Amino acid sequence: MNKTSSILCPGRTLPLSRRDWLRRSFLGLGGIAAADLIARQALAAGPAPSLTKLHYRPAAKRILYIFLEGGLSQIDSYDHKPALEKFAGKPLPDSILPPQFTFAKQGTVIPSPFSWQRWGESGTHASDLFPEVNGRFIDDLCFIHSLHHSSNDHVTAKRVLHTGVPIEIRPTLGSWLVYGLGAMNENLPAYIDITPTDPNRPTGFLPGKFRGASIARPNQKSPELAWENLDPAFTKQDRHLQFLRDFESADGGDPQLDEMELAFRMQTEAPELLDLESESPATKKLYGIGEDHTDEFGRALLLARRFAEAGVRYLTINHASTRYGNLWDQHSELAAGHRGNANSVDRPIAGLLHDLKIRGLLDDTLVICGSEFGRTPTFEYFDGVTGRHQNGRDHNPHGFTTWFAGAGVRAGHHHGATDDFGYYAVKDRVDIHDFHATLLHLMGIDHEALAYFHGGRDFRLTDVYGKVVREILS
Amino acid sequence: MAPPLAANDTWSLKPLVRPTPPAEGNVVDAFIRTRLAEVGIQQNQPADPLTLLRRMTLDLTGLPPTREEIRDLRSEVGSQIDRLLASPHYGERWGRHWLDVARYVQGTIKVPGIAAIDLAEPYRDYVVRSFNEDKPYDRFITEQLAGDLLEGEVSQDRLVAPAFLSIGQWFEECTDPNKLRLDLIDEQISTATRAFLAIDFACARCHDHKFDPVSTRDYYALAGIFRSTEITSHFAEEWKDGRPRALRPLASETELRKSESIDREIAALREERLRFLTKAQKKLAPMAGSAIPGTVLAFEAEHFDGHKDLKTIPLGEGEAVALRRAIEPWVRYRLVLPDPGTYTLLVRYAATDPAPVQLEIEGDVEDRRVIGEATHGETPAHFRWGVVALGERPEGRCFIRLKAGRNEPFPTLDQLVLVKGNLSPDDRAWRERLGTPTAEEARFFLDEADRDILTKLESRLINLQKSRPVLPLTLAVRDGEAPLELAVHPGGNPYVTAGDPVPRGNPALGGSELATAFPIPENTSGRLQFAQWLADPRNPLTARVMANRVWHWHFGTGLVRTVDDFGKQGADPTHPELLDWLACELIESGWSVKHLHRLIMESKTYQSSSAVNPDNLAKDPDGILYSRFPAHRLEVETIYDGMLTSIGKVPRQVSGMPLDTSKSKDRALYILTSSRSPLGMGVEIRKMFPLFGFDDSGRPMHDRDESVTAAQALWWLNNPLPRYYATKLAEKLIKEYPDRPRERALALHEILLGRPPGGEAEAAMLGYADDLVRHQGVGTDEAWTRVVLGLFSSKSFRTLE
Repeated sequence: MNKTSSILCPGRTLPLSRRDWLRRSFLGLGGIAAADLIARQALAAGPAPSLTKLHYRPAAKRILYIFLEGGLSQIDSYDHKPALEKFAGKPLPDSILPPQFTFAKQGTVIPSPFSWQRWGESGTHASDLFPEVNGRFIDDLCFIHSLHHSSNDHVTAKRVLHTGVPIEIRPTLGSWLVYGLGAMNENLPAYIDITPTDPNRPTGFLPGKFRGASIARPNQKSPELAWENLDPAFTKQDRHLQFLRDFESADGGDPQLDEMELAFRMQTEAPELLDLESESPATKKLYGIGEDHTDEFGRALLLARRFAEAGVRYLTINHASTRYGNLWDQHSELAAGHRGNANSVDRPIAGLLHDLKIRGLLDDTLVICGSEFGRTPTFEYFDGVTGRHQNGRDHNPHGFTTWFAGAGVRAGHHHGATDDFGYYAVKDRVDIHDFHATLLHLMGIDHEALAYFHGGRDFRLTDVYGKVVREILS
Repeated sequence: MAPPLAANDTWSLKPLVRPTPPAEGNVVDAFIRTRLAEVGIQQNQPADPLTLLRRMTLDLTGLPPTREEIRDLRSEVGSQIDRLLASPHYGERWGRHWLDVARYVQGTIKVPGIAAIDLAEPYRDYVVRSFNEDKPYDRFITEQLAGDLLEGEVSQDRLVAPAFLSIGQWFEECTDPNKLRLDLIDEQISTATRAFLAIDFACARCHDHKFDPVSTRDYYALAGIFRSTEITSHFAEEWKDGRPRALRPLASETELRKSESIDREIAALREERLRFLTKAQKKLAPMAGSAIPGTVLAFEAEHFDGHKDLKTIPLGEGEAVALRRAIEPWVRYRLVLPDPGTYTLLVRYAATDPAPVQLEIEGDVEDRRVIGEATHGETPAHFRWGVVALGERPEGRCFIRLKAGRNEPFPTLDQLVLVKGNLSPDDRAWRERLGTPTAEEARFFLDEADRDILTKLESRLINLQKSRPVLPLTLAVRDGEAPLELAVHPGGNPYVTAGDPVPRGNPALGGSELATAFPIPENTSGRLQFAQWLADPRNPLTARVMANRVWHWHFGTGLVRTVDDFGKQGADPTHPELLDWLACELIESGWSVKHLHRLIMESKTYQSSSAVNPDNLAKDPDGILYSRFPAHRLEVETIYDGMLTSIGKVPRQVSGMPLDTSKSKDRALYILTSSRSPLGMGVEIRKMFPLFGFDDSGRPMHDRDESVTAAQALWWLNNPLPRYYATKLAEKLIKEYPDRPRERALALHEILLGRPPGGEAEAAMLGYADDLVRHQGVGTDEAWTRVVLGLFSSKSFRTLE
């Protein structure tokens, strides 16, 4: 059990020395054995890795997590349930107990409004919500149909997905990865949230330098995505940096200004990375850039690919609307809502997979796509003249689907299953700790050995739980 | 499971014994230098007087020294310490330190549940006041845990202080009320035990503490105390109802009784009026109702298309929509208009007090005040119709939103009717068609004599309401009706218990004699006894923990590095005897925190230079042996206040005078949690804080994150906030020293860094400005703005050195 001895956890050997830790981060990897896997992966001047060596040969060097905020309905996308047709208009049978808590009164079963077919050589049953992804890449995808947790509202469910716990503020998977692995590109943060709804996602007990940097549209009118406080218009930067160096050393201070220098390098490198104009028209077309429905998300995903290429380790790309928040939250108008949302992401996601593939990036990049929870087989009870129609589904954290593609996962594989109505995960259930353990494993980390000492004990992303879902590993 | 470790295994639980100083002279120095001598290093020379002035001024007041103070520096260090300790700004600085431990956040910060803490300011001001008054720390503990239970005259401090238990992070979206109830107790236990004991009892909620002598029985004995304490105004089982924090008027018993008696009179008069109106109503022949001409749509209010902070309640046979919680509630309806034209919406509602709402159509504010005249009650008899003119509308979808102001009441809504055409509110024709008139409307039909009686009633009511004192509210903590005891919940599971309820009581870790020294009377929660146990000089942890915190806040590191963990997993003290000596001094001085400041600041250890001496670095790399003053990053509040004060925005208040918060209101302590948006940059200010290590999530901050990040560097370069202050300061300096750039540079350096620049620093500043102007085509204002920005982002500006 005690594998902590295999890692150098800065909090493990108390008294924890903050200055020591900072200094180590300034040194970057210089002070760490060059023969290990991380060093071969990268030479970084960002936060130093806390792990001196990886526990496994990593299948993935980076993760792109496409997050469909609000709750993609599993039973309208990838979890095919013929029973929904049979029971249409009827209550769920007694064998499917209602959960302890639902948001609204539970209505009768509604069938999926989408048409279903088998796709690809794997013959995967999927709806026509994502025709481009399914038509071109279904055999590349690996599904877990049995994810589950118990948080029924968006706020805590998203926290569960990102941090493993619903209520307390803990570090996100991204922060843990940067804490464990450090950065790959000395000019860029190692963890980036693209169009997050929560731009200041806290790092919990991990120091602030492990925070994800956030990229968003500076305003509703601008299609371009931008970095907060990054302004290439600050001219004569070199001269300013020179002044800072002169001033610090004249002032008897330390002329080493690593963070300031990283900021300047970001100012130099990031505008180029953020500028999608250097991409060919064909590539832009691939992501649906320039077309009404897909322009926004296409830009986000193309940018994600550029960052991935530049060495960012962990990216979340959130499909959410700043005005409405939980875009995929179809308590009513499921058919129109899901269709509209899918239309804005289908082409960009297919474009991303294609692009990663032809660039050879999919070999060491893991793409994940899913939501904070799925939706119920029944409609949500709301009626009346001005009220909602009985054509939407409630939240369902008890069994939902997420797909994976690329590095380290078994293409065309389906893991786990829900009951006949897609309500509860019943076979090979995967909880969030298992999910996180598996992601850390794919990045070369033993989830039991990545720990941070805080408030009198070691904390882990997976707490005291989690087992790697080996069945999905290639 | 292994039994909990015995208390005597842990250094921090051994009885506190006053150590003998190892040498003559300043005792702090004696302990520190003995240790330095052991490893064979010399303490640094004293810092130069200006560096020390800046260090002490920032340390005690959170503000840099003024130029006058820099120029007039003549007095002895001792009298400077006295002046700074007497400064009203001292409480703002050291009170903020305590607020970190007490997990104080509030206001606009977006954490679920946190938004509901609207009245934490009185607690904040209490903490500031307590530090300024040098309130004995044992009293400070007792007031925060049990101020409401203390004997003697009720004071403002006693009423406000227990908010310490109430300002925690709550989860309004928690779906299980039974779990939530235990979560709230856990939050109180965890915060209090970490704050006062530096041992987190929360581990023992699920199992005996793995490392420290805290058993589940200890935990549930305390949990019983907090279970017997009420911090919510009610605890609805329906999660959507939220759990509002209990409030009470900030007033003495006499004032309360006076106000309550007026309330009773008002209620009686309202009853009388209702009886009168009902009688009058019965005289009227019932008017037969029929549909209103032009009715397009009639529907129940509960058929909304979205709402915030509202709930559906039973009303007579049907249902109505009513207020859940008073923070900008609204309700939205989606209407479908059959064709273009003028429309009117009739709304049947009731409201005890006036509750005007704002009308929004398709997101645009159409009318700031519609419906919502008081109907003086909310029984079915009180409902009446209000008229909402929608004006000219195109056909098709039309979103209507009715929204209350912040903290304003919302009327209870029953039915809505959409009609085509323009209806006047005073038109009796349509009113009569809507069925039996309500009691209020019966006024229209009263005769002269009855109307007179009614008018007199109303004027008496109005006068009474005017004479009712407006009592400010504060968060309330009180004992529940009957004390409750909790059995152990293994694994923290609210639905599983093991064994009998654990009697309420104090933990055993301070020794069994102390644990039983304060028996809890039958009819009280036991908070007071818990506070007495904590504040007892025999408690081995309390004084040690606070002495260590004071040291930590001075030096940036504690004598115990883990300031919130004095348990087995925490760090051992680097200077155990010094810590114990300080703890004894704290107790014997009558728990005076200012006494500790003097002891520490008068030492050569505190006054030594922060220069890193290469010879000492190997033996004391982190400065924890105090061969030098360990330079450390200032908290974000001090950085922000430093910019603010550079353009004269914080008038200094005179030492020895009480704090005038109105003069200080722009300081970071206040601005973060107020809704003020100075310079229109409230958003930028609120974003700045988390960027510099301020955790705004509502959990305790025992040790601020001092990370230096690239995001901060970008912020210094490009964010409008530092640029604003830099521009203002540059303008000011150019105006004051138009042709004298050297004096300009001198002033700038003194204002921001507290001392004149050395020759090279001056040359760097002048050279940069000159270069920008002469060779880069930049204007003088912009050039100096950049020089200021450079100094803002310099290590000296953001470091206590």
